[in-house]
Amino acid sequence: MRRYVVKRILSLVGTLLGVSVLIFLMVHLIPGDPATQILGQFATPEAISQLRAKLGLDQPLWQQYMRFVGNLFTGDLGTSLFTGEKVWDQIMNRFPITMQLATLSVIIAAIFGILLGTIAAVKQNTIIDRLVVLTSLLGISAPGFWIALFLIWVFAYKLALFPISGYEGIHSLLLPAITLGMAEAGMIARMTRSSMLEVIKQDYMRTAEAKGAALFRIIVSHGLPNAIIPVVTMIGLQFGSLMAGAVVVETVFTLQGIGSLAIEAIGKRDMPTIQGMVFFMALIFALTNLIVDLIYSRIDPRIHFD
Amino acid sequence: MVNINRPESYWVGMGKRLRRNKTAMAGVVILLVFTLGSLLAPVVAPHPVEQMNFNSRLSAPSLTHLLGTDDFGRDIFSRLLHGGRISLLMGLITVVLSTLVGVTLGIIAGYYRRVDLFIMQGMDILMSLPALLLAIAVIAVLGPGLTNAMIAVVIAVIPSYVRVVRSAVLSIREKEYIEAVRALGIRDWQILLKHILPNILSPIIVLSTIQFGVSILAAAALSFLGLGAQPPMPEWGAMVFVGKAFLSQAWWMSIFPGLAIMLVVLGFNLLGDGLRDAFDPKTR
Amino acid sequence: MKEVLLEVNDLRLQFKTDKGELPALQGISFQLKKGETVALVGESGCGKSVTSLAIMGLLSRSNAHMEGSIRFRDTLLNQLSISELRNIRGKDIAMIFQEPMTSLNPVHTIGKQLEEVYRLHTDLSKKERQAKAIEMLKKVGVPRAEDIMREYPHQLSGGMKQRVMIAMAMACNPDLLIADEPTTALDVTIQAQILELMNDLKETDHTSLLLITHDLGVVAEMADRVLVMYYGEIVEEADVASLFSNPKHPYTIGLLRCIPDLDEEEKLRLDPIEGSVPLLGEVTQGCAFRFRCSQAEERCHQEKPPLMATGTGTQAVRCWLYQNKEMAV
Repeated sequence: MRRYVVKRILSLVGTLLGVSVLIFLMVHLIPGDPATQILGQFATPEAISQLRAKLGLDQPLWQQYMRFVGNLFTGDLGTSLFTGEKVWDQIMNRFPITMQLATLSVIIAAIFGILLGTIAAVKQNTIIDRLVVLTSLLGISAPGFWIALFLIWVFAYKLALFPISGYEGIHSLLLPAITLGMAEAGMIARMTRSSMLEVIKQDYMRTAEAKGAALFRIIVSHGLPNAIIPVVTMIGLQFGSLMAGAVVVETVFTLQGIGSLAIEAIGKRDMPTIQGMVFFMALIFALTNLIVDLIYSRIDPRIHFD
Repeated sequence: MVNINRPESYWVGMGKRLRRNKTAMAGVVILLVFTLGSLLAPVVAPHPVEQMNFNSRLSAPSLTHLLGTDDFGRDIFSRLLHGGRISLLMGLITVVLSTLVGVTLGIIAGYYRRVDLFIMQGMDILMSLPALLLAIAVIAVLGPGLTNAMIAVVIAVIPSYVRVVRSAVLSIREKEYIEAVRALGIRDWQILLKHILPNILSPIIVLSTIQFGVSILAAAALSFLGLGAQPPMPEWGAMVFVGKAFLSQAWWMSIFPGLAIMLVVLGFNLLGDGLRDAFDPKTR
Repeated sequence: MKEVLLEVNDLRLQFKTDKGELPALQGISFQLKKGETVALVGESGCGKSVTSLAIMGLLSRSNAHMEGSIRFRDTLLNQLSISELRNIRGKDIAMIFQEPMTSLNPVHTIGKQLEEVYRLHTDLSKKERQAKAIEMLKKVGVPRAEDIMREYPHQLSGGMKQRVMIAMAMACNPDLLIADEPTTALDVTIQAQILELMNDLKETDHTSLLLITHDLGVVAEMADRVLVMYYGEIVEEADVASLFSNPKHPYTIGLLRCIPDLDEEEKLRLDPIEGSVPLLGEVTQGCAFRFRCSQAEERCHQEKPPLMATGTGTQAVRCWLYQNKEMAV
């Protein structure tokens, strides 16, 4: 087990190194001189050369990279070109909201997705099944920003049940979390359904029935723990995408999370912030994948990392 | 899963199963309606797209304006029809590009083991970022705009193609008949084109169908964020973005374009599901 | 005469499919007495397993249409509601399946799965249930029973898993145990151990056994009486001695020829029956075995033979060859 974790962490570092090359090159791939591009055509030559020095553009490329990557792995993501704040601090200020949002939406999505998927599998080929299948496909097909506006229109304007935007405590995260969780719930429902259909055919389900267990017990106690294994993996792997999806949702609901930070940064061509953001997300993504793998061994006794 | 000596009847049987598949046919109908609507937009649109009418700004859906008008008094239904051209074309271009690049890379990675590690390492790095974030990062470099949004989406979806194609190729290249063909001294590119490609066609078709919808969705999201198509272009995502400011007065400005996106994407997802079932009759 | 525990009377079963109803059982009748072992024998697809699943009520009621009656003691099983059936399943009638590898739930410990039987059918406390489970594991010869309770199925060998399955089936001391090919998936040496265990438990617990198998070696070792099934019908019924010494139905004779006879060196050659069991719904008239029968006559193509007594004990056979010699039942 420990060997496996070490191996995984090493490969995680490898991936992050790759990402670091990618985001390092981001500045240099900008057509034309990055400093001019960032400051605009009308910037004074002094300002441009100042920025060049600040970005380290006057040094050889490999030196720039070594410094860049050294800083990255010591937690120094640079300084915002606009606010002058440390990028790391900026991200940390805004991360809690995104984290709460993503967590809440995963919980909502998992509850509804697993429940509906299981019901659909048990009632295979009935109206209920078809409805679940169609609804989950609608959830996957609907653009997040549209769901957001639709929910705002119905619940905030028409029914005046929720704040329209901004953060006023955890309940103001409910609509954004539902929005964000919609596609996720659809995917979870589909996966739970097909996984459960597979599990229902298994011999051990018949054993449970032969023991005299009731349908509910057979499904919940014997079926679900087996059916849920691939679903948990998917939920974990999707967590990163969910956070990226927060970009859209945070914009619509004007929440001060890291998603909206990214959009603001792009609007201002604040490269250090963008680079820091991308690296941070890659880190979160990789960490969740690692955690999922470790959880996996807990829920499936057959898995051993030796 | 992979049928080696695919007789003609494989494709015929597949077509039959597809036509009997209600899910797939529902998708086809939706997509036909939207494709025809966009193709014939100049003919069927009840109003000229860019015709502004300040007397009928923000008017609710009615018989003259089926889906209402926007803040400039433009007819939303007509704009949606024209916008369909942009969204569908964007989807088509991104799918064709990402299929070409993704399938090529996937085949190379699967067939030539020497470069496999190299390509897959690159894909792993791309996949270590959520697709939408990757697209946003690309736009951060290239700058906002319709073309750049498409490039961003292509880069973001390529890894999924490479993965699928590579594993399909890997499962086939070890088959005896490929060994046999290779022993006959037939050139690699001929083996790839004549023997491997036809056998991995079905997963590619299914994936491309689903990715068509995904690309449209991603491109619309980028436009909504102001990173893709820019208003006043009648691109659906951009229309939702503009409509957002008028949500309390004129819900139709944002709700209908979003509905259009959802329906088209639903169409592709339905068709994709149906194709998957039709290609692989065992699953179900 | 011993008390009749299970009486199946004219059991008919149709599977509902896209292509109409397929007859899986066409009028099965038999009795099982207390303490008796009856073997259901035949090739796969002959309806043995379906019969057992029908007795357990494990066939989906929406897919299968059932007629006839199954009486267990004084209850008609086929008239019970699902919840009434549940009280009998696992407690009065228990079942062991063919695949010990996949019949245990991979995500639950052995202890949890064994304990569940007591949880479903008794009011015992958790401690008592665990004690009972450990006791049961020891009874079926599982070593280190306390440790095994905490282990998962994948950590056990096939033979151990089947022992656990038997422990689960015998947990509530059932009156009837149905064993569907209990040893088929196991190694030969393990097979013998499992059969011995089942015989022992049967003796100590006074359980009746309905044994489903295609293996006549198992039949010889275990059964008191034998029912040979073919295409959803009983084609021959006999006590075990008569069946082996004096088989009547050409199908039974064929099956017996398939056994490698280790006693006689020169008869090592196997003699399989040509062809295979017809698909459900394929035979609409006449004897279903005639396609594979070397002695088939004109009549066999037209009329279906009834089950006829043969005069030797309780032996009965469904074949026109014996019609003139004996009287119909």
